Amino acid sequence: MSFSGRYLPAVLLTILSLPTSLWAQAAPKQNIKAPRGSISGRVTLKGKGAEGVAVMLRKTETANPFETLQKATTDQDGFYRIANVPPGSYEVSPSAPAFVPTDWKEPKNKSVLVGEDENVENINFALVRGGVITGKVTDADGRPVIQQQVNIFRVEMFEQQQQSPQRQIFAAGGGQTDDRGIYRVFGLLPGRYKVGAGRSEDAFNPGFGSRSTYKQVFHPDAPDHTKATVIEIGEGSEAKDVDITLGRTMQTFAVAGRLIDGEKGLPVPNLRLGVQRILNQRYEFVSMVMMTNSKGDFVGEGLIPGKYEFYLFPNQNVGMRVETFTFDITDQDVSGLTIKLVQGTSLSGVVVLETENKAVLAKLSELQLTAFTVNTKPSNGALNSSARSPIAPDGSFQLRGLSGGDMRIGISAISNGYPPKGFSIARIERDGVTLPRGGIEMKDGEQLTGLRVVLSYGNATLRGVVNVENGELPPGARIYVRLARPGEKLSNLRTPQVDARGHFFIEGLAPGTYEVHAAVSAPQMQPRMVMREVSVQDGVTTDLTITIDLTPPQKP
Amino acid sequence: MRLQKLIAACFLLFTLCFVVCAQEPSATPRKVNEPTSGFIDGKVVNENGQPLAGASLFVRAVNSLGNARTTTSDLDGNFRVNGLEPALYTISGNAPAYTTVPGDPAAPVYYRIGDTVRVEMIRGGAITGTVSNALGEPVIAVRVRATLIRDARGEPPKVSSFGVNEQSTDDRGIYRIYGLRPGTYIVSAGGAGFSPSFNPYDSDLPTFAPSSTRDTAAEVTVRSGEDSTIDIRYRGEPGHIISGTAKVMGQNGASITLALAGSSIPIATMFQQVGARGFSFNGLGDGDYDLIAQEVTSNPSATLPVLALSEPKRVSIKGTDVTGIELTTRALGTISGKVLIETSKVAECQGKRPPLLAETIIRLERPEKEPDKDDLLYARMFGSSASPDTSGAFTLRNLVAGRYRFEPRFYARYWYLQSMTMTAGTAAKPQKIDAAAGWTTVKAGEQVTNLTITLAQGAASIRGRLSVPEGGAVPAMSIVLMPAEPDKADDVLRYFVSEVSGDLTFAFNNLPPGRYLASIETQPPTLAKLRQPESAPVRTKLRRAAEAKKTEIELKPCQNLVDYQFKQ
Repeated sequence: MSFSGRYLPAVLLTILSLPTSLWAQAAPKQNIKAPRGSISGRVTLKGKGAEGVAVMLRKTETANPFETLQKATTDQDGFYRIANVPPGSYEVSPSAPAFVPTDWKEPKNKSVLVGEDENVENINFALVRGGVITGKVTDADGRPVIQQQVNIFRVEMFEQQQQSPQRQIFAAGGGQTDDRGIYRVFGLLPGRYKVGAGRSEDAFNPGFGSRSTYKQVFHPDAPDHTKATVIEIGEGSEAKDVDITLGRTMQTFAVAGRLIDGEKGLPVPNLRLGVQRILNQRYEFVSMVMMTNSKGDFVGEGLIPGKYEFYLFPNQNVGMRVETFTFDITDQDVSGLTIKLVQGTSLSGVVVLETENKAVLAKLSELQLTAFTVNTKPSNGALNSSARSPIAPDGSFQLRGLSGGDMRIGISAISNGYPPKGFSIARIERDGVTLPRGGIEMKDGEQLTGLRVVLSYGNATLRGVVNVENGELPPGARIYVRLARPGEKLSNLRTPQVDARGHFFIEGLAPGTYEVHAAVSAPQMQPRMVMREVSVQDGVTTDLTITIDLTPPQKP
Repeated sequence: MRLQKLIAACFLLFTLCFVVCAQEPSATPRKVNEPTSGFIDGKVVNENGQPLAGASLFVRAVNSLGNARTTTSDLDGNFRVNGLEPALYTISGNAPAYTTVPGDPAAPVYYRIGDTVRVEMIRGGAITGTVSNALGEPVIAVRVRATLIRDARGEPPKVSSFGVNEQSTDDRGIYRIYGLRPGTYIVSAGGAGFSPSFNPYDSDLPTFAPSSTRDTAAEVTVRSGEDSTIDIRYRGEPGHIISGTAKVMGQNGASITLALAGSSIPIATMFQQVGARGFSFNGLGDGDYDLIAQEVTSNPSATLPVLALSEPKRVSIKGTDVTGIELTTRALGTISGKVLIETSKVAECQGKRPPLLAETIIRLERPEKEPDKDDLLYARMFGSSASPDTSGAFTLRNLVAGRYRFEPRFYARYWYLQSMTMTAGTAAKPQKIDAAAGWTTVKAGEQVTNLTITLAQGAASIRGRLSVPEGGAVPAMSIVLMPAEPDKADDVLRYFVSEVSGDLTFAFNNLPPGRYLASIETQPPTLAKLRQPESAPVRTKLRRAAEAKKTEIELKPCQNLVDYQFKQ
């Protein structure tokens, strides 16, 4: 079977001519000229041009993550070109789910920054057919286990964990069994794998509900990964009959108790409580919500044995948090707990603009202040230490219900949670004194009032490129760029995306001087870092080139 | 923001997760001293009545913010949920590859503490096949959807099971959709899925099996526990787009639902975040569609959702994209009032347990024929009932403009529904309107107040048997009770209907004391229908027939008439 015809349906489309700006007609009328930028490149399969592959373009920052702007289909030699691309930051991805990059260190998608009317070329994707692992999952009685998640782990994951036991295990892929207990995972990179089903103590478990749970078993029937049979996957190979026999389901238990006001001792109705499981030094998310009833009582079900801690769901507008409370589930339900609500740490004050501007002031209603605590104590309810507050017409805000710790304040757009374009926090003052940058150290229950959060607004633009000299970037290399005000350790400025060519672009900067930190990291390479200072002006685009020297470090 | 989106999605799921059990709540009298908490237990069985182990059960209090209580059926299919407070509960079950017969959304079944519930689950069927292109090569990772068009009884579905009936093809182009409710389906590949994804086939026109448009799609019959196979030759023609903006009132964004014109079953939904420029559905073919925007305007974690809804908008696609659609959400109407519980001084009624407000619900009834816009989902679902608080006050929310009647349900053997009145006019000159006799009209966004529902002590009951001539075949019959007092002829709350069961017994509960006429009917209207204002001629006719028979029953307060022999 030749590859060329596989994507024929997509070829039939020729190049799909979606309107370049889907939203333009719904948005207020603007003077839009047709964008003339483009992205082009080639998709190859084992070095030969791959015909009929849909290459999709998606905006990196969008309120709708599924908003596909445009797509193109490769021609008979594997070339594609997406035309009429407006300036912006994009992710380019070939839609070839059964295929994988030739070099596993390469990302399957590439980010590309397109300037005004810029033609970005050579965004290439070299692919090979991925491998397949398929098999059947049965229970202890030989019956198929339906809708069971099967995870595929790279053997190296476990080797790395052996060296640093704190490391969490993430699956490289996975799938669900069907009504016959059969699963099939495709598009796997060549490599050595272990295949597991069920729940494990040291892997990342994405929220289990009340569904019956099995303890993790690796193919064929190994309760721990050291006894798992390793599956070798080559380019385009298929491993069949990778069956797994699970044990009995794990019994789950319930927790019940009453939520009371720590001061008055009265029951607190209609609040959402959750628990997180404490495993070694980390917290595991538990997908369960408990709502207190009119008597303040709550019940939660489906908990497997382990150590748990309560937290109050954020943004319930009570300004409280739960007093640290842990409990253990061993072999029975836990009931009769009394959980106390205590006064949360809070911050309040006003948001002001560094330079008065009525038009800019009107935009504050679209923004929110956020706060989170970096916990200094290990067990302090990691999830309950975040809060957000809208900015009232008079500029006032209230961030409540936090726990004590190192408090970080940020600003974001209500719509998407991203740092808003143009705005940044210049400084935070109290009683005319500027508070130190970074965090504010706060005690549990402390109420900090009279804060002045000074925002700067600007429309300066920084356009940069990171080049390397004295060497080539190894496969899988990543370039990072971070922006900070001079001397600032922790920046609340948005981090720009660096594209596949090392380009980055930052709009809406307040005029002033900034530090631009650029870093290159790659597997088996010592990371390199460079800092450059740059000054920007309102309404002006400043170009910046940063060069990173890849000369191997001299051995002393 | 993400949390709010999730909550919105959860509400959507809750409303669609319909109650499945076919058993009527027990009407058995309760002990005088009601426990403050208790349990509901039951059994999960499969389509052959065999116990089903490992099924998840969700026990949820109606009109409550609280989380559903969950449990799993044991090896014998049994389950029990402890520590429940008095309330009305719905119960739903879920087991992989199994499905349930959805209940009638217009007639939900509620359970109370002490009830034993039988939950029936049916092994679903599967549809499987290969999606290939014109050259016969597999189409990989295209979404395939099975759409139920008629249920096992040949009727169009009232409740959709969208979202779950979608699967992507694997690297061989093979799909398998399982756990399908028995019935007749059409199968399509490509086009917009129920929820958005990042897939190149989403913008294509869906190809219906075997290789056609919706009009000429092949029908696939699905039977419990069986596989049906149908392959799809994928066409990959470009689809069209409907896009626009929902203008909203609050900060929670809006969900936009797309349905085929006139259909109440959505084909796609998407969420417009606050601040987002708009919404867009792609992969659509020529034809007429209805769009509606819905917004939660309350703080979703603090109260039951208060919604704003747009007018449904009909959009036609004729070979080109449709952009710039505007949907503006508007506040919905409410009806608020209170439930009064009146006790009686009659000696026979002393010490009888009153209804619990927590186990009382006021359901809404709508005229059968309203414009099709009323079929468009959410409003009907959210606005269908209200539960009184501890003082008896209740608010029916999220009502689209239209006419409504009220159907209170309560659980106390010796109480009856005495009256439902609205107070209108001025404070100096109040005017009482009988809300039981007529429809109450709610204008767009109107807040109607002062509905008083009075439950009075003194209800009587009848247990009886129909005596029929020997040897005669007995057709399905019902007995209709109606007031005998001529001045009470228009009191619709005095009309009752009871089916005569196979052993010829019948039962009436919660009857107001008084004199009744009875008649036997082979095709009586439902009680709700009989009490509607439009049924006045039917009631007159029934009374005439009953008066001629001269069968009169007198019921004293709290009287239980047993072994009543009713002659045909």
